[in-house]
Amino acid sequence: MTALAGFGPARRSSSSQTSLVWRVDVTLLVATLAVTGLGLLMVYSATRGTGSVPNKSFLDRQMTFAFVGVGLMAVTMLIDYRRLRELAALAYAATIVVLLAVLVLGVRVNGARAWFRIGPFQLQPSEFGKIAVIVALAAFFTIDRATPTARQVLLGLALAGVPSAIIMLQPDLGTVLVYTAFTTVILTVAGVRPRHLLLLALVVVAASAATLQLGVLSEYQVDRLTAFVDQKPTKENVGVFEQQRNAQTAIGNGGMLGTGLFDGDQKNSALVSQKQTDFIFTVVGEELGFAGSAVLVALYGIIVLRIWRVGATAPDLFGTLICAGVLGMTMFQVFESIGMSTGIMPITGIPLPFVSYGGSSILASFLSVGLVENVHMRRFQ
Amino acid sequence: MAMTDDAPRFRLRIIGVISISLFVALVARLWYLQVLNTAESEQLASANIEREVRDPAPRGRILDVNGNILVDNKVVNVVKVDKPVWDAAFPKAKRAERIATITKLAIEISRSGRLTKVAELAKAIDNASSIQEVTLAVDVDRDLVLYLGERPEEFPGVTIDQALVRDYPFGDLAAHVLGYVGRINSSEFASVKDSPKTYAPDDEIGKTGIEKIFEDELRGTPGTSVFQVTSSERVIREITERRVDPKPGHDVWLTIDINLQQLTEQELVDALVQARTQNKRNDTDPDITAPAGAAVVLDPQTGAVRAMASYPTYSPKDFVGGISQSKYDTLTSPGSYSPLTNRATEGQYAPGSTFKPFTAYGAIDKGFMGTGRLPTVDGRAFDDGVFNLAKFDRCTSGKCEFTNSRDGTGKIVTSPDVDLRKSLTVSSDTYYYRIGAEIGLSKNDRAIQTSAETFGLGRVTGVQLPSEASGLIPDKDLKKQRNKANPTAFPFGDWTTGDNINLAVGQGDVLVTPLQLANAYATLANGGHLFAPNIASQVKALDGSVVREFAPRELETINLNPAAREPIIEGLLGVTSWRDPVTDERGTGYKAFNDVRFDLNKWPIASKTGTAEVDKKADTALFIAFGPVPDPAKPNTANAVPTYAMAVVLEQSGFGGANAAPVVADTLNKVFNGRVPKAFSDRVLAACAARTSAQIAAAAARGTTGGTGSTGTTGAKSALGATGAKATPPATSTTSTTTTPPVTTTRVPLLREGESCP
Repeated sequence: MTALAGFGPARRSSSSQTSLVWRVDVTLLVATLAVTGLGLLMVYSATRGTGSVPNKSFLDRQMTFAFVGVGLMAVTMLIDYRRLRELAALAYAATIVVLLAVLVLGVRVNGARAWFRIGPFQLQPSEFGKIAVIVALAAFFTIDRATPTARQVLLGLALAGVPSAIIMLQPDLGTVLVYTAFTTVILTVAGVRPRHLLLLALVVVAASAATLQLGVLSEYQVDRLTAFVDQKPTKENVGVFEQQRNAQTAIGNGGMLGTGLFDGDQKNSALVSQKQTDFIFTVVGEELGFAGSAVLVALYGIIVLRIWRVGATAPDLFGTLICAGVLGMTMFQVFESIGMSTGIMPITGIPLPFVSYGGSSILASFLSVGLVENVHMRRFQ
Repeated sequence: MAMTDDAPRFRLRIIGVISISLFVALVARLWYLQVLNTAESEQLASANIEREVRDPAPRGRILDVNGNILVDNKVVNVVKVDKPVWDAAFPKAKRAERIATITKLAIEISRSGRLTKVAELAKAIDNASSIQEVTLAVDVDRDLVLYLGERPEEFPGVTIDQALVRDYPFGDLAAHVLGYVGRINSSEFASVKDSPKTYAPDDEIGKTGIEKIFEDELRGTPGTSVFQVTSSERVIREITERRVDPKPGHDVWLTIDINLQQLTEQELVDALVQARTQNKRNDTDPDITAPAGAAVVLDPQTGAVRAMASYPTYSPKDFVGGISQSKYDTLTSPGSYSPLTNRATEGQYAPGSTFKPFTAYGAIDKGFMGTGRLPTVDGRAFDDGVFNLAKFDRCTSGKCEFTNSRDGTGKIVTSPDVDLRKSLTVSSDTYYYRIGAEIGLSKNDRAIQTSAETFGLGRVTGVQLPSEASGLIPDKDLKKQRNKANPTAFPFGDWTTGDNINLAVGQGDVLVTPLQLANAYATLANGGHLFAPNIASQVKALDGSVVREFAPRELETINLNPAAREPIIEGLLGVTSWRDPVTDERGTGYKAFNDVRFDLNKWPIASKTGTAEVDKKADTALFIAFGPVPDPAKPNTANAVPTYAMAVVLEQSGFGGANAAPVVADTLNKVFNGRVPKAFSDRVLAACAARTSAQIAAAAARGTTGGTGSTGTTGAKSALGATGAKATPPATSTTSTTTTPPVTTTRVPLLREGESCP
């Protein structure tokens, strides 16, 4: 009954396809598309410039990716997620190979070798890797029904650790943190014993301290963290402070209703670097104010809660874990991206899902929602 | 199936709760930033994105008593270099290109009329911080503007800007009075940091003269423009409602009359040049070099300064846009005799015989005349030219014989029938030696000092000019003090009778400034009103309203003893007018006034010559006069009121009567006859020169239509040349050679309404 639901034989296909379409979580879909639309608006506002002829190139590319993303989401929804268990190992292996390849063949942007240049586009494998690793972890922790043993936990950690380590070499601390976040959520939901979790937490703390001390992190990464922890500008991290102050000033300048769309270059968000990507929330905050920001946060809230609900009603643990992973990923990215713009989190390079300018991020985001919808559509099968 | 296992569901629920709390945290943070914290962040926001630009305010003008503008502002072209662009174009590796460019720039700037050395230019560029715009030359001509404008790639970062600078329509006239402005230095900056007229570190400030003392009035209040800029500092718009317009500074009106000022300066120079032609009496005498001098004209009735000249002088134009180091070095080198010093207020001189009226006043007023060995005021005696101080007169410090000065043949001057009046008229020294000795030996031994101080000598007059010197009236206590403080420089601590004798004739340690002398005589002239001289009369705002007015500042009303004043003035009147028809003996200023045919019957002049001895240098020549004075011998002058007092001091120039008196005689002669030549501003002179040469050219063209074409073209060419050479008299322009480069000055100054040519 479970095996071939989506790609079933022709005799059932038309009716089951129709019924499947009706089972789509419309709320999640609408919230996702709403956030995407808002995102396109913000990218345009952040990049149109002040010339008499607005710069539309960023918008065009982002729109292209959004359409491709929606298509990709539709395709993802069609393939029964349960078939992915079989493909998980292959996808995982491919991810590792591609991540290694990008270290050698990738192009360096903002100091990180994280992108492939494909024609006019740049592709960031670590973004797609998130989905592969989530699926892999979900598959791994559903091999055995029982509570994961210590050995299984370690193996699961290794599964997430290997790609994280490769990404760290790019280096891209932000993405590694995303991996850490969704891995933690998957481990938690998979039923890892509390003492294992506790131990794990201790290890993470110790490892973090060690990385800071041993100088594994780049100087700027340390600066960002110390700037956040000390809240005191020093000669080294003054740039970080400036960025954070500018971002908060811009958001604060939005006030209740915002300064209005489309003249961002005259505004404080113009002083914020990366304002179309990781710091795009500053544009939202300044131009749309608290009202617009709250709407965006609320939309994310709806997305996250729907993902949670799909996870809770999933027909199997695999589906639950996929949703848990996507939830952890989305939640962390939203919280960190908005958090660093508003000054309650340290600065790391993490895109705001569906909103930040960047093809890989938006494609991966749609992929993940596609997966969740996939689980939802098949909750009665 | 997992469905049966509740653990994941439970844990998922925990994750859900965590997620919700994270969202709540985000919304709370947003609420704090955007709603609660708005006031603070709005302020931060505008600070982030607005740029304030200072708009300098024009400085007030300085005008003479008749409203002639002596210091004005003008817009000039300024060559600047944008340091970042320059540095980017000339990295360390391109040293040679850099030097070559600087050299080329120096040549072009020099060619445009601002002599500039390569080394100085290089230093100016190097010393500037890497973000600054450096000013390389101020007030360059249009040729250079065009030249540089056409070659931006040759001179990277070099731009032409416009600036408001000081302009001096009358050239160097009254330079010491007006003073100059210059870039503010750190100590000046510290002193004005609380001024409401905010200063920027590269602002200009008055350095000397009126520019300095009226800095607060002259300086405008800078305005501000607030611009909204992008993060890349590109201006989007001006926030006009935040604009504060600059307020121009106030005009300062002087009591100086520029025509009289010009005449006084000219007379001073002429006298010094004339003095240099004298022959020394003995080869061992110091050279008469006549390097410097000062002249002051006051109105004795109000204390107003009518003219004030100091020589050598300087050109305040040299300070516009910053004076070059080499020029400044020249101005301050010892060989230049301190052209920047205003000798009228800062120069301290032994007054010599010009001090005698004050000795006489003290002696009469304190009742010394007719007592002891002194004759009465009217008592006559033969002046044999020698005064001996006896042992019992406490002649202890070497010099016991004091003599009159010697005449042209080296003979000690003698004079019959000398009374107090004649002692002033012919300047008998022995008469005053006697007074000095008598007073010095009496109980009331400060009588001379007291008299001098009463007339304002030995202390600052309070004129509105900076750095005024106080002069010095020495006495017993001062000599003791000096000796105690510095025994090496002042080996003697006892005030001797000889010191008092020296003081009586204005020698020894006594020092006065030319202004003090003029003011002291003015006080004598006006009957005892000691004024603090005014050189500024009022401060006016741009709309013409009077902001400050300087009424005559009478410091003291001295109840002048008529028994002393009258014979003294009579004696002083004789200096210019008395001549013994039998012996041909004359007042010491007789010749000078006779030479210019001064109508002393109409304008009787009281005056005094002075020839002060200076250690190892030729004598200082002095002459002080005031008038017209009611002369008892001329009944028709009984109602005369002294309206002019003039002091002239010439350093190392010889006799006062021969050298300094002519300055006063000629000046006052022109003043009273209404023949003071009009001073013309440089612009009017240039306009007149242009007009004249145009007329000549037209005349030449008319004259050559008959045939001789060559003279016609020559005339036209030289006429063209004259338009470029400012204030060149047309007479020389016709002889100017054809090698003169083609003049491209396009602006020929035009005469304004009411202006006429010399």
